[in-house]
Amino acid sequence: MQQYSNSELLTKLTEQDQTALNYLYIKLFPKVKKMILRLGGDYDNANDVFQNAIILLYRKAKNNELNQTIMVEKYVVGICKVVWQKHLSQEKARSIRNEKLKHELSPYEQETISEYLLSKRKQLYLEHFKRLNDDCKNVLTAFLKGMSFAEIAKNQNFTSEEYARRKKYLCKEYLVKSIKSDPNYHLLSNDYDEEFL
Amino acid sequence: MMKNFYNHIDDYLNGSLSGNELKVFEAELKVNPELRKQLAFNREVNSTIIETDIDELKIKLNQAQKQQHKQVAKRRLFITSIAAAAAIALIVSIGSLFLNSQISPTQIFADSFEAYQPIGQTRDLSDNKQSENFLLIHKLYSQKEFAKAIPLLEAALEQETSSAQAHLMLSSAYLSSSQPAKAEALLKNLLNTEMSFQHKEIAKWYLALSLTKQGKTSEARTLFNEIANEHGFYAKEASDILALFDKL
Repeated sequence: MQQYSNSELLTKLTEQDQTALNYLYIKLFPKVKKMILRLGGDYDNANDVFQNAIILLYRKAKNNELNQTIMVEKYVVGICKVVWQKHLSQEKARSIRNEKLKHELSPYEQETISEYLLSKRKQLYLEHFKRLNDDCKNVLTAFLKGMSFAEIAKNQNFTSEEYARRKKYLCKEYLVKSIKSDPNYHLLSNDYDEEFL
Repeated sequence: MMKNFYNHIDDYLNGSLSGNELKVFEAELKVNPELRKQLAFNREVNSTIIETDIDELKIKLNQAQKQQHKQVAKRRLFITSIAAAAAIALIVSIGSLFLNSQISPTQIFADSFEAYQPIGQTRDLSDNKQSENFLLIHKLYSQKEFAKAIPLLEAALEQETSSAQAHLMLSSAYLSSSQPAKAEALLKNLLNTEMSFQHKEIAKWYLALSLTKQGKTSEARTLFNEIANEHGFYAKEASDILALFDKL
């Protein structure tokens, strides 16, 4: 198996290099899986937490939000650990009804949980977006990429600019309603004291 | 005049509001928390829609997962195929292994100790001093250059006495450098201060290991019992060690 230095790994990750992603999975996932299985989770929990940790790392690397000294392995396992410990402390707080336990996170842990929740919310938004019809997906994507309604109308063969504007409005309204009617949205959008895994 | 501010959120995010409309919208934002909430929500949704690369990454991660799964299956097959041959060797060697193996506190420590992995960048140290010195400590520590990291961590802790992560890093550095008594003193000190549940459990874990390393098994046993009964992150390891203590 090819070996990577830390900086190579970060670069390859931002390029979504499949070999580097395979390497990350082979090298790190067993550790995360072992930790989560040992602490009462299952394979799917481990996989979900691990993939979201990688996505979180990818976003940060892509946006240059990472400290140069960051060690990829420790960072990914660290996120998974914080997320799973948060899950466990919620379980414990529930079982012994100790509300105090809910607020004992360090600033770093709170930030990690918030970023993780944002990542999960985005995953949920994407799932709802994918369920829209092709017209809606195209109109919304074009609008958000900065295309004018006149251009959208032309590209999509709509009868008028006004029709494109109306179409965008209705598609967005439908998407927002669809997301907000999802019970998971409420779990993810409140504060992180709610169950979120 | 805007009748429904919520209909103009996308225009605002898109930068297409201007002049008086923009002023009115921004004035409303200042006094309307629900509008601010909806603005934040729409910003998240909009940024997700144009983040097509995440979807591609997700597909590639699923491929990587399959790849990893295949590799594990291949390894299992290999292990099964050599199991028969290994069984003979195992039967022969197991007898001598039992004769030679001795469980000792030092062995338990060696099998259980793994240096503390700081999560993040010990903000409690870095918030005030985001200095080269701080980055150097992290670098040395992550490279397991404990002899060099120890004096820097000691100096940092004199400045920031309340940093739980720095205490844990220093105690781990001591344990890695065969200085369990120093680790013990430091961790006992730390446990007398206020800290999160997670940090407390980690501190107890390393204190119990420091005591084990020094052969203070009775004191260590009390701590491992506490950890096991708290059902936290180290509970399983603590129970395993208690079982080994019974065989000492």
